Order: sequence, then C-alpha cells, then structure tokens
Amino acid sequence: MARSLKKGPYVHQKLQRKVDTLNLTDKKRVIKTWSRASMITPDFVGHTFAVHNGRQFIPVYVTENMVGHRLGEFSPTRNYRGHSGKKKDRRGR
Amino acid sequence: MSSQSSDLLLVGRIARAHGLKGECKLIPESDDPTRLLDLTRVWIGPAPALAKRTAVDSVRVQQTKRGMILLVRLAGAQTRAAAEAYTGLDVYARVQDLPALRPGEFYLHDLVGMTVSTPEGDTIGAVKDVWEMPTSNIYVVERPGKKEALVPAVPAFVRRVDIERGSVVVSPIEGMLD
Repeated sequence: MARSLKKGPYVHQKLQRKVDTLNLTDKKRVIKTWSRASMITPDFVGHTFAVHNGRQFIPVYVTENMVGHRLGEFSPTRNYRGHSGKKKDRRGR
Repeated sequence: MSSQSSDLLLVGRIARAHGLKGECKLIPESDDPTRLLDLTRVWIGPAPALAKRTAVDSVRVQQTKRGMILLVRLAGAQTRAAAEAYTGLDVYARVQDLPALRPGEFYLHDLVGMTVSTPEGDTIGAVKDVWEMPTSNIYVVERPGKKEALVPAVPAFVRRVDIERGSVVVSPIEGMLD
C-alpha cells in the first residue's frame, strides 16, 4: 500500500536538518547517513550522500532524475564485480 | 592465428545454445551490446590466454525482459550440438576490431593505476578499481597509509581524465577523503 500523501515523503529528521543547513549556508560536503529509506526530495539535488550499505559508505551524488527514489536504491548491498583480471569492453567519459 | 591476450577485451559470455541452427545466446559484458554487431572474429575460451580465434557468421539482437542479448552463429557451428560445445565460455574481441572510442571516452580498465590528484597538484593516490553503480561509476582511490577513498565519477568531482599522462584530476569536497 502506498504511503499516505497527507504525510509527505519520508526523510529522516536529522538528515533533513543537515541538508537544510547546507542549503542555507550554500556549502557542499558529504553527508554520512544510515537512513537508506529516506526519500530523495528536490532539495537534495546537487548534494553528495555517503549511504551505508551495511559494510561501508557509498558516495551518492544526487541528480534531478533521482528525486522520488530512496537513498538506499543507489547504494547496493550486494556487489558481484565479476572475475578479476579480465579487461571488459566498458567505457567511461 | 593467435592474438596477444593483452589486446583482448571480454565482450560477453555464451550462456546456451539457441534454436537448431547453431546459434548461441551471448550475454554481453559490453556496456553497449550494439558495438558487437559488426564483429567478424572473436576469441573464445575460459581465459584470454587460452582463447581461440573463431570467425563469426552472424550476430543479431534479441530483446528480453532483462535487457539486450545477442544471438551469435560461429563459423563451423551449424547444429545445436555444435553450439552447445561453447556453453559457459567467455567471448573476447580485439580492441582494434571494436568501434573506435569517441573523443573523451576511455576504457574503464585503463584507469586502474592512474594517479589521482587535486587541481592544485596535490597527489591523493592511485585508482585501484572502478565500481559500476546504478547511477554513476565510482573510482576507488588507494591512498598510502590511509583508508581508500571513493570518488563518484561525475563531472562535479572528476575534472579531467588524461589517459596518455595517466592522471585523473578530481576536486573532492569536504568529507570525501575522510
């Protein structure tokens, strides 16, 4: 069942406070959080969150198209990285 | 004719035979499987050093619920039984046989070992690994005597990647190198 619209999106209070402080001071710093269930709201855009995946903090740079998703979606808890030593046809820019 | 195993890039893995006419299902490892459509030869084997050169008769795309896979017919494989012999093997291609990289593009494996520094010239460490994450890649930077740092590969932080010089310039924000 979907969350009631009356309540608004769930964002951990302390996390929201940290984001508000950064937005007020116009500063950028990595915000460490364990709150994987917090929803990404428009005021998160442009900030970087270190989201805990149970083992380590994964940095997540928030962009516009991530709004409405949960922070945990971008910090996978299981990472199969394939067999090492094989060069793959994967590119970056 | 053999190829230097260092030239070979892993482009996929043969999952199983497809149909009765000798086609194989290739699960692509390439970030863009359409790059493999024009291949005329591949190297097949459990490892690059053991891979054997094989001509490719045809390659076509099949869309599935999980994404795009390729149906490949290898030279000499005209029956299902012949195709089944390739099951589970890795497929490699030479860098030169793949479409050329566009300006500004690079292979992720080329980043490993490159020096990471700040715009001011202070060395942070060296790239140890590149993680492919849901939204962006993450550079794992190994730092001498310190915990490894994770830097998201987004333009906000990665200012320049110079493959020839072997350097990556990043501008970390507060808390990124803790």
